[in-house]
Amino acid sequence: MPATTSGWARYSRAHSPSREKVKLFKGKREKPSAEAKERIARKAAHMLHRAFRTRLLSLIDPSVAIRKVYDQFKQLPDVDRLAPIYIGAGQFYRLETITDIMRRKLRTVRDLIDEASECSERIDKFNRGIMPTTNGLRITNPEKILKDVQALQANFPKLIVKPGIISVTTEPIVLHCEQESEDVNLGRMRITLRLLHYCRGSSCYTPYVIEAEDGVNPKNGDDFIHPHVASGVLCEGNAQHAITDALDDGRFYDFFHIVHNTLIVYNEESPHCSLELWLREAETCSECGDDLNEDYSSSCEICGERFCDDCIRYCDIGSTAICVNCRNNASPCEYCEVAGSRGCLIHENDPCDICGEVPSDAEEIECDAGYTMHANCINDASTLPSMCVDCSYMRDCSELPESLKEEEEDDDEDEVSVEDNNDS
Amino acid sequence: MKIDFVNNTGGGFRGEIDVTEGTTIEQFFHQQMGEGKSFGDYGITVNSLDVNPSRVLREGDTVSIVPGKYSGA
Repeated sequence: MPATTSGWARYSRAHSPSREKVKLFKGKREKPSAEAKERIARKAAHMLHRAFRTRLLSLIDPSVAIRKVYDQFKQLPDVDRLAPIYIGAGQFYRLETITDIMRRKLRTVRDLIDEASECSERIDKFNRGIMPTTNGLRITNPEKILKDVQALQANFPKLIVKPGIISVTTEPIVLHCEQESEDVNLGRMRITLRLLHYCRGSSCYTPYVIEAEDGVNPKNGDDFIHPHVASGVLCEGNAQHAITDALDDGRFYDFFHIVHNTLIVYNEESPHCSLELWLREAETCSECGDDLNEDYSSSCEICGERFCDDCIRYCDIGSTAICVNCRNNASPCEYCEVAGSRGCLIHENDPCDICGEVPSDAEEIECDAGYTMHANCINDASTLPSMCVDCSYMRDCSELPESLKEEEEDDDEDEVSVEDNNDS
Repeated sequence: MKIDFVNNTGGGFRGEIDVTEGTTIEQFFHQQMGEGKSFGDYGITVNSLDVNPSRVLREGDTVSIVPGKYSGA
């Protein structure tokens, strides 16, 4: 029995570079010839047209429209579920209600039929290449797309066509920082259109990404390649409509052009990462000397110097960042007992109503009337005038401060007014 | 005669419009964008090709105007 070759094996053998082909790439790459450029353009245009066609068809899919109408249909109340009206011994439905429901159901069915026939007509026209898009433009045909691709080749330094992606590389992006009065060269950027995501036409997947070809990151250690690009996604700002429309219409040259024109502008009002960070000298950790990242560094609350997360220490309660040096030299905190710690969360406790000092968590007791006390103060009966009548602690809760008494009276009035409203 | 016009500024406009015979790209640009706008601040293509401002529009052309700068966010 002859050995069968899998599809993948056949594909990889057919597409793997032969030795002769490998030799070609060893030397300096030559510029592609006019024929090669034409071949690449045709291939890119073919891929883009297929993707555009798939996307358009997914947008006019009749099943989507029919499902929409069917969902409306389902939402209509059913006659069976109507509450009957009893007249005498028998039960009847109100006639107007039934008529109304039947009329609405009929209208929905008509909508359904109209929608389905319209979809069928649009698909028919689309297949014959005469369907205008919703905005009144003639549908993008393969020749138009080929012209777009040729324009991309003419206006961008590099056009890359790979299975599932079309990308262009820009000239080095240079942005001007007003505050520092200096230009920042961010290097060349690659705008990649991902055809699979583009076909789906879904807003869940961004159809294009921005990558740095030879990018420069900010000096604070962040991974940003551009002030308006985060994780490859461009924050489009006022280009959003233009980009969406260009993709919807299949105007690919406009799309890359608009994205490029967004990348060459710095909007200092709302960047992901300020352009100044590309110019400022990198801050280093005072202990180990590594470059500091803003998100992974802290300042010592005693000496004020900045440290990376590996070199900074925290007190037991976690509210105070202290460097190792300050921790060794400072006296221990009276609350958390960590050397150099201060500003611990314990300071949030209310002072004792008897002695006036702030109790620690272990010492604090709050009576049912809401007073804060030291455990020691409660035990010392000589400091307490009498047994509290409202709660079990030895504290005269009847001796409330005037301000607290007023609050309690206000609360009572509120309760009464609510009851009055309920009665009325 | 009718041409396809794509204006990529702001909310944008895409559609077929009537222009008089013999209108040049520069005249068309000022008709659509206003006299105060500078031709050089925009990327203007006709049928996906960069064109000379004196190029005369023809029936069925697609004119696309892309501002030179967009503000990212």
